[in-house]
Amino acid sequence: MDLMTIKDISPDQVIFWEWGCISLNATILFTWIVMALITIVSWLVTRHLSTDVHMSRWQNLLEVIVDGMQNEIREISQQDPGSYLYFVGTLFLFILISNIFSIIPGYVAPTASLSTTAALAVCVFAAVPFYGIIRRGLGGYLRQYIEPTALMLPFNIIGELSRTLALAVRLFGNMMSGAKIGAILLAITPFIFPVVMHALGLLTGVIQAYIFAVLATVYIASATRIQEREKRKQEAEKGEKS
Amino acid sequence: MLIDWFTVVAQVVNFLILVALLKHFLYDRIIKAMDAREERVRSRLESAEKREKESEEEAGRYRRRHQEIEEERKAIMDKAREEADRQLKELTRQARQDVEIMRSRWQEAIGREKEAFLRELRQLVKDQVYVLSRQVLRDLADVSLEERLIHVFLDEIEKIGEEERNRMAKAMQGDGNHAIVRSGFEISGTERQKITRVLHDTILKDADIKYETDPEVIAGIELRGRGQKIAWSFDNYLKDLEEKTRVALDRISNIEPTGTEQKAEKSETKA
Repeated sequence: MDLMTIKDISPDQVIFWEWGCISLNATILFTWIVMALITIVSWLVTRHLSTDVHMSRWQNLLEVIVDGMQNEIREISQQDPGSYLYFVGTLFLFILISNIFSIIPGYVAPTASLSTTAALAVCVFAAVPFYGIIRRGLGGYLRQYIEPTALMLPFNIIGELSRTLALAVRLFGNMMSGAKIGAILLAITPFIFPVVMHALGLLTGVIQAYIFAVLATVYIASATRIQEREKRKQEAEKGEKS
Repeated sequence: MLIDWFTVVAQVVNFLILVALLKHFLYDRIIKAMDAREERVRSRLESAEKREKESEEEAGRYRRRHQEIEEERKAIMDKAREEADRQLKELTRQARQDVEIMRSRWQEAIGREKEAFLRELRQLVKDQVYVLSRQVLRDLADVSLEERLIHVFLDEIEKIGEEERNRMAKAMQGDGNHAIVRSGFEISGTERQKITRVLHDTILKDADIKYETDPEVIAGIELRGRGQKIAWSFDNYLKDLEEKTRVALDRISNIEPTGTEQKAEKSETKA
């Protein structure tokens, strides 16, 4: 914990360079590092992809990850993964890698910053109507807020906002607290116990990445699945008329 | 303040950039590779199935062809067997025929040989008996065989019955009172007179008797008138001997062909 003192709650507070309102803080820096790492590894591995049954271990790993994510999305949303994979998969990979690297001394997980988690939650908040409108159109998407009655509109809006807030705070709280608890324990019992906490922190990090991705999928799916139900209903009505 | 709005915006932008980067460098490529592999495996499986199907069809065709060939082979074998049987029968028949022809030829040859042998035998026996008898008679009685023959001949003439005597006389009269006495040897003048006298006494008084010598009449003597003959010669005995010999040879030759038939039958069984 060289970079951040125990008083610093968020890595946003560690600023390397500042010009006007633009500041390069630890969150952005580590985000870039994580991004660069993921992108470079992906590029290196996917440079020479084999379409034969024989392939490199790295390619196999990436295929397992991508295929696993596709299956998970398909299972949760009951829909074809399609373009959800790009969004949900990137969410999962970014949070996972950010969290896992937190065992490296000197590294601060970007997800331990409320700004990052808020940004990701905002992305999910935007993605839900984005996919919903793409799937069912603007009117169809907006109609779900006044269903079953118009009285539900405020509650639906509050629900939408609150779950976004919950997403952001859940991830931030877990990651930040994990890092802080580790730091505090290190001060109290410098041997063995912090290692256990670190291991627990890794587990929490992986679980949080999974939870965030699953919840994002569930929200997007709920916004698009209504359309599926309606489509079925419309088809049934058509069938009855004919 | 825990939330730095600039950082939030920056992170949103960062995240969207990451989505774009991963879409390009990771998801699209990996999914494309997986789809390509899936397609490849599927096409391989399809081609393998196709090949399996083809090979099964090919195997079926081969089985059918094999069966056809087997049937053809059987048919050809049956035909060949029939042909062989037919040829065997034909050859057997021909062999039998040949054997039959050979046997008949052989029998003919045997017959001819037998005839020749008998002829020779007869001739030999006649000669030998003649020589032997003359020698024996000469040695024992001290008279020539011709004399003995003439004596026996004259005895025979004197012994003949009335009826035969008349028939002979008539025959001589029909020929102008001519008669011929034939002998296998030369008859001396004395003997001729003696014979002539006996003939004049017994048959015809004024008969004109001529004497001829014929080697065929072995050790014998005969009187010939027109269509009538009174004779005594070894021929009588020789003919009897010849007849007995022929019977004996016939018995032998009847046994021989039977043996040949058995041999022919054996050769048929072998064929």
